[in-house]
Amino acid sequence: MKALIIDDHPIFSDGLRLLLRTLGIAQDIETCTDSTQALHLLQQNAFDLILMDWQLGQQSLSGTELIVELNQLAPNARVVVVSGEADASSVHQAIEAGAVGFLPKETDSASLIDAVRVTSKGQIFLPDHVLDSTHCRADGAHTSNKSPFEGVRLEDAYPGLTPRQRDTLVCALRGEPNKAIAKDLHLSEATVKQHLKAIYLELNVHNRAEAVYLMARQRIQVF
Amino acid sequence: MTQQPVPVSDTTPHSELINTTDAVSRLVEEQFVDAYLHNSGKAQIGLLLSALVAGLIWNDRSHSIWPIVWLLLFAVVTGLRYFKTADFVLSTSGAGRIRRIELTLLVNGMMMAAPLSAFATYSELERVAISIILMATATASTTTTSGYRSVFLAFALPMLVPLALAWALMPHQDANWLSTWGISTLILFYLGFLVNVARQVAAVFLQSCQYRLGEQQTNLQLKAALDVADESNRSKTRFLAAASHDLRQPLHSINVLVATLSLRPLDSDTQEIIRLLDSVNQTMTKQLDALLDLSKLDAGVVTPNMSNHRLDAILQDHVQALAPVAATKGVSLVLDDNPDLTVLTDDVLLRRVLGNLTNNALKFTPRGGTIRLKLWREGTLAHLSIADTGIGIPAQDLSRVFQEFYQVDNTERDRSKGLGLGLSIVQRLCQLMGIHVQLVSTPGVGTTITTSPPPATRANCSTPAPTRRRAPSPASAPSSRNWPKKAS
Repeated sequence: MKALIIDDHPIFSDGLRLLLRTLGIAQDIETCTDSTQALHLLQQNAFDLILMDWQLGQQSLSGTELIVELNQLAPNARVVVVSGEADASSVHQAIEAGAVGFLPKETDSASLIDAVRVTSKGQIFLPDHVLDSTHCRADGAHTSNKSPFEGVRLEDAYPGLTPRQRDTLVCALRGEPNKAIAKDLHLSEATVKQHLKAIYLELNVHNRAEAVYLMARQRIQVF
Repeated sequence: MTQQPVPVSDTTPHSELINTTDAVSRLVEEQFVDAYLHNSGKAQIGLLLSALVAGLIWNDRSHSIWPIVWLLLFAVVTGLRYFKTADFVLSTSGAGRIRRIELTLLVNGMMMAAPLSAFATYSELERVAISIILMATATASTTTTSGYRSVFLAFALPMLVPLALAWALMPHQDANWLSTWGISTLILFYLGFLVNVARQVAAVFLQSCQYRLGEQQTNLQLKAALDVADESNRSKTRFLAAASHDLRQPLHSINVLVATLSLRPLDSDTQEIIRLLDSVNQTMTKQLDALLDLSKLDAGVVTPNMSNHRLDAILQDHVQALAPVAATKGVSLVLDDNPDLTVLTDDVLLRRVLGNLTNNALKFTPRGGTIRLKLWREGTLAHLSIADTGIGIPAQDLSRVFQEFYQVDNTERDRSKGLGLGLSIVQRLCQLMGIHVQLVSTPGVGTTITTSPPPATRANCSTPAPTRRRAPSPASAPSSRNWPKKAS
């Protein structure tokens, strides 16, 4: 896996790079300190995982803007926010913008390792306190008590989804715009929209953001 | 007339305020020009009617075409003055405008005096009529010129001085001393009287200008003070945002390095060192967070987002989240009563209050103890109590536990259990949200804290009832406001 770390504090980036290497998640890791460098690196490399700081300082794009840019330039990458501020509204904004995980910098080291592992295994990680304070209609039926790394597979959790719908959902969760999903899956945009409608009905959610919360809460192996 | 000196603050960035006298005279000029242009239009109608009567009298006695020519000319001048005075005056600036007004009125006054050329031929009655017309016109001009002396005189002198001279030098055939020098002197007296009236009008006008200037200066000072306050507020917010972001960064870096280190193959002693390092880092992070939270609350940059919330739903969530922590500590957590209750509050901040209070209860309740949470109604008020069977607080310390950095029985200042900011934060948050807090404690028996949030308003409730849970949608998911973040 090829990863990119965007953080205005190089020591943190270096630490995170060491952690990813030690965990065996990625060996090929680029780091940079602002959004301009990040977008530049993105034009020359294909990344699978992008870990970005939520607040990159005055010279950079805002967290929301950067997520949108990254998803447009690299529709196949998973954009995960790593942030010192992990309040519910920041998390919500990041998810709305197209992020597919939110790791708080401020946890004990064991939780940080868990969060990075969960993310690398293809699950969506969101801070516990955010999941606790937001309610979900579909709660209960699928709540899993398994250890965090062994997530439920998407096809097991939602057998009602067709393989095609699962592919569409994964693309949408990754933050891909409908146009990119259509191109990736060789579908028309209208078909993608229809699939998404059916998927959200099956998951009992209204939109992509709600689906992200649901996947995180149910520890579903998405990617 | 006295004028209070207008205090000029040292910090006022508007240097034009310093020279008050200049500012007043400039304002008086401006205001005078404004007032004159505003009044003179209406005055033209009266002036034209007066000229018409005077013209008719002149025409009766004269066998030339001059009265008619004069009347037509007067009508043209009136028209010009009505439509063009403003352009003429405003096309120059400063004192030039006053000169132009003087010139206009001088021409006008001289024209009004023209019927006096036939004064010798008038009967006594006609002389009186002409005199009344000219004197009335001069009188009216004291107010239309706001008593501005040079302007008033430019108009009145060309009318009243020739009038006085005409009475004195062109006596009627049956004239005695009264109808010549007598009337003439009275007219000059009257002129003197008008000058005095004009001076008083001018004084009132000046005073109103000074009041207005004072008001303008007060406004500027208020604005300057407001700018200073805004700026200091902004810099406070900037500092806190920078502090929250940057002071914590080294801790975050240590955190990720410790995490990485803990994954390396290490002997058991090194692992223990790593574990301690991690715990120190966590303590420091939490203390810094509490300190920054407190600073944010004191800086007034936290504004509660008040709306109606189901207190029972929030409490139930809270108890569910807390249950595993209590279980690990061997403390039983009991939710006694939880009736449906809606209150007016900020749910994010209220959850923090509950978090801090139950953390305290957990911290001071020994293994095997109990924490009871209870919600009840008393009239329109809702009460939520958290009672523990902890060590309790001695009576003499009850009033001090809300002070920042105060910890009961911690004279050695052992900060391993925090800085003692929890209750200070609770108190400030409760003040923000209008929550009444009551603390009852018996040493060795336990502590009960009761919070009473204000009752709900008649709006819709934004927290879902605990039985019907919703998916997070933009409307229902996390509050859009939280602790202030980086200033942008």
